[in-house]
Amino acid sequence: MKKRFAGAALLCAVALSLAACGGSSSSSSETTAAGGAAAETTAGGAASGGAAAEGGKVVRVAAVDPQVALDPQQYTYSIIMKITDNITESLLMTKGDGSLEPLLLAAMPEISEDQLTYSFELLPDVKFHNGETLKASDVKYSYERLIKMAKMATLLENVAGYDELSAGTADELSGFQIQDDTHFTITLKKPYAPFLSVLSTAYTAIYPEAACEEAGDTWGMQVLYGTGPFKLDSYQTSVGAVLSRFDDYHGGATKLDGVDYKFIEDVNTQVLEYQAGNVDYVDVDPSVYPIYSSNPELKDEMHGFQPTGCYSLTLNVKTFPDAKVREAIALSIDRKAICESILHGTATVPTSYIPAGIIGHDDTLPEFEYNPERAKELLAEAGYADGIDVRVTVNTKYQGNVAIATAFQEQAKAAGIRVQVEQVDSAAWSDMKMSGGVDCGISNWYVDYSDPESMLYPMTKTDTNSSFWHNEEFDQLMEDGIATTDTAERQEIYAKAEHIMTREDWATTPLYNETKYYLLNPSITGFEIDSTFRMFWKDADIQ
Amino acid sequence: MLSYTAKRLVQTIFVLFGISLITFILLQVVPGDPVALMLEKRADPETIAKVRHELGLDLPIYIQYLNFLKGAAHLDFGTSYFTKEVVSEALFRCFKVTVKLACMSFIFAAIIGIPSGIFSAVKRGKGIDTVVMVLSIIGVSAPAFWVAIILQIIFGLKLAIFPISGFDTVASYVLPSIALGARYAGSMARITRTSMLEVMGQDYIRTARAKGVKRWTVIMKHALKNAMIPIVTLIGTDFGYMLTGSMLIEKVFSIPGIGKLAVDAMSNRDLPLLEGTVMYIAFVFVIVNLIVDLSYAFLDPRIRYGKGAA
Amino acid sequence: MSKKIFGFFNKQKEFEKEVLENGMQYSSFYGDSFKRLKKNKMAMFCAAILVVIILVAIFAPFLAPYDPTYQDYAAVLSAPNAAHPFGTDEYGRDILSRIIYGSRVSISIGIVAQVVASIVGVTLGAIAGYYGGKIDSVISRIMEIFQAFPDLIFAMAIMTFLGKGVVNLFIALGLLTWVRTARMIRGSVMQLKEKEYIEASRANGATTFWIITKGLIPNCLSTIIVLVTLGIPNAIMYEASLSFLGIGIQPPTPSWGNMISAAQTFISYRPLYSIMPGVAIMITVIAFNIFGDGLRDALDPKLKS
Repeated sequence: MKKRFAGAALLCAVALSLAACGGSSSSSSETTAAGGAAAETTAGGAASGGAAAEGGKVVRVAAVDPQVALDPQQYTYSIIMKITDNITESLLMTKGDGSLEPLLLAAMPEISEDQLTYSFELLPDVKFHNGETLKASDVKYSYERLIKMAKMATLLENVAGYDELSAGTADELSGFQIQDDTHFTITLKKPYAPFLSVLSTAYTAIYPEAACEEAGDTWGMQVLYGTGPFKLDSYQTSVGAVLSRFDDYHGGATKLDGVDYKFIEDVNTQVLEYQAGNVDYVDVDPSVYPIYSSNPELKDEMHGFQPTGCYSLTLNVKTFPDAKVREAIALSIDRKAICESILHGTATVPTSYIPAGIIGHDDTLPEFEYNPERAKELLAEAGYADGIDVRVTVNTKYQGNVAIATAFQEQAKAAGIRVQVEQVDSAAWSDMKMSGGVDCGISNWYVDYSDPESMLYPMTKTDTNSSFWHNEEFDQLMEDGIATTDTAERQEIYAKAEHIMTREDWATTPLYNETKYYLLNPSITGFEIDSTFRMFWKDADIQ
Repeated sequence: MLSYTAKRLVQTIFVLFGISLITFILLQVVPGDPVALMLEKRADPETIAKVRHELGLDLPIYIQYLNFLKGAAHLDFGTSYFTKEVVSEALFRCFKVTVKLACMSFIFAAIIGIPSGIFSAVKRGKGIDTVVMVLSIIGVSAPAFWVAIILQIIFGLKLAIFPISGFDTVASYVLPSIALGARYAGSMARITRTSMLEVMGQDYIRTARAKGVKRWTVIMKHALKNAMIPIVTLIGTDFGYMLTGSMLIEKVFSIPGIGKLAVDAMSNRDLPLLEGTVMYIAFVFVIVNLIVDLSYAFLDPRIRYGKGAA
Repeated sequence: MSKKIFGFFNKQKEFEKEVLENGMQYSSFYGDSFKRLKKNKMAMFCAAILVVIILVAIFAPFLAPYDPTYQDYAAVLSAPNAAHPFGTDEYGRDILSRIIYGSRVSISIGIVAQVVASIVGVTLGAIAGYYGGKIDSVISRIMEIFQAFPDLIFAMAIMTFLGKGVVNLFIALGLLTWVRTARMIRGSVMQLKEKEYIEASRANGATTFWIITKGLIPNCLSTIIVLVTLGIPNAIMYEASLSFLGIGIQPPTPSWGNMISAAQTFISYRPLYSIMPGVAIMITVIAFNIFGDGLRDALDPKLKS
């Protein structure tokens, strides 16, 4: 009897001691807990004291875990750029109105008359976070790395020597010539109008050569140096990223002491944390928009911006070879209901795939309509008088798309289209997209740079858009578009290309243009997200 | 006993081998390609081929598996495709978090479950018995993630007593532990009650009472002591389940534990990471079960001596 | 995240232990059992609740005020009112109607998944128990592998592999829960096969198939009935968890699980939307559990104190 009890006690003791070590190892951080609790009590909707309680002007951002290296050259998620845009910088910057301004350059580059050679001059004495000075060789290194990384390499495909470097027959990018530490030129194979816009994207950020080489696989995970206003103190997937002020920033040190990105996976939990005053910035999903727009305390803390891009339903031409069927599907979506009810007025019905504010947007066109009767007629003409079955595939990572598909499912019934919604995870989604397994896919596309080429290229250059649509005239117009510099001519070219794609061949059909909302602690000033959809904390301050 | 343990350990190796093979096969047949996910935009066939080669995914499948086994034998599961983090390091990092959560949940479940089970048994048939049993059954019948969300709203936001999410302070583990532990508290209360009732009906307890030993002394000194065996067995197993993490609770509270690691690895088709986490979870599960079975055999004379007790 | 977090594990563990230690009464006393069951007021009350829930599921089209998939864009996320007692969801669909229709999915998932689990579990359990030796050890290892495999990861893989759909969900849930049945049946069969009447039929030249199907399995029937009853709530809880991960029942079909998971965003805005399906799950799970308990007590008089 005694022995048995002793055994039982032993088990309990083991369990308890395990519990005890669990408890004690976290005791060191208990002081922060107290600080956090204090902030909570003073919060009451707006966390005025929140940041100060942590001992400095630190903005706390609720973010989604990227789960990968913070390196846009390798991974192109916007959630990565939300962080890296504050750490690394590109040569130029795109402003909200689409115009460019020099960032790491002394002036806008000079362009030769034949539109082929660009001459750059770097700002003197720009420091990287590791103390090194920015040199022309770092720029060259960064661009060559982008090409070698392959993912976004085609951004630079018009630079002389791209093909050789990409194929591995050359070690260097021959079109990139260094004059001295601050002067260099880039030569193109052919005129390419959006070239300078490309150099403002996060993919073309400048890394310090020596440090990046030394870091290898740990670049973006343990080490990331740039010339930006903040330096990366720590990054841990599924936990967060901590940024602190870079005192030697070439644009003058920031007022903020740092930015603290907290990775919170659950959208609901993100917003709860904001309401409790534990984060200062959170994205608002359109589905929960009415909750906050109807809340008098939070309404004024919500800000909106319209990213340059569009949500669309891509139609696989292998599955639906008949353009009439594709048109019928496009006509069976009640976009107005989606915008007003499902998205609670945070979106508008598009008139064209190329969004407003970009060359090629045709504002004379009518909105895409909902006309189930016409859709039925078209289906009958195509030989499907009994209607058709359509499978819409959505990526579970984007729950908002499930809502759109579910609404479409109900709306399409009127046109005799029986919709099946298929939810797949990210890995299956990317795979299916490439292998042609997506019949109908909801996707969104934002421009990488303010140019119609960035909006349209996925539809022609690659088959990664799940449509597999190819059209010679369209491809030719795309070629003409990048070789043309006259804005009026380009407007005509791209408007025509788009018309072929969305109103003649119905390869993809725009669903809506969204306004994105975020909640921002009112004590934060000098921060705004504009249509470029990039998050810069450089000029922010906490009052 | 020793040979039994040895036999079980051999079986464990077999089970782990089987699990690694199933995981590997599953990832081969399940649609979805980590390389496609990695490259996404602007991926062309050459780039895909290049990345596949770098990851060793262009080798014949059986060689890939053998390579994996070779590493696993040295506890080296390789590095994650996406984060480039060494898998064993990622496991250790998440394990530390999961252990804390498991311990807190376990303490919560035991503190609530066992005493209420005892009370319930002692006051059998009375109001308190019914209340405890109803509460315990509610505890096991409510979806844990649903309880979690409700707790967040009430205690995290409205009353602002505990953190809504996170894992860096003791306080932040309170709500997840309750959400995860509620179910176990319920089942512990039930088993304690059953086991206590069984013991209390036995002759020696009645004899002790008849001799005039105080009621609570009898309950605590004699009845509980004997009723502990099945309880200990059960809570041992429960602790094993808690140690393997709870994906849903971790998701709701943004806790970077083993469960979240496994779900992420699965949805990214991150083979090395998935193999590592699945093997880890299975290993903990099997070992805890082994310990429980051994302790059961050790604690219970009926099993030890092969004759009925009482 | 174990089979047991969502399972009514401990009761089954108790039950399992009791069966193994005490053996069960296998004489045909279903009549007596029913009498005993009838005396258990709590169990009978729960049985009545279950009957009501099943009737609701069957007659859903007559009971539901609206088509559960009809989207009324003019009434998106409306608060409870006369037209919609529980309000509407984010598509303007009536929540009450969806809960009524959701019972169909949740109940049938529970039952069918348990039938699948029983078929697999009884077959493998009986084979392992009857033959013993190498066959038993192979099947036992397979059971251990299934048990040790993290369940939600397994479900994610199966659902991704088979594709999402109700039938595939049945299969996935069945595969997640068969081990428990198999272990119990294995234990019972091991005990039973030593009984005289089995020895006798074997001596009389009965085929193995006959002995297993006619001699052994019918005598495990009460065990199977109890296992199924206690397994149903388990499967219902699983469905809810899988829905939360986006791999449960696909739109527009309502299930209580996918309703809770969709409602979580609106919990502070439209609390009833989240609470009602949660309550529906709880009532059903509780009723199945208490009824299952009662059934076990009734079928096994030894446990009555």
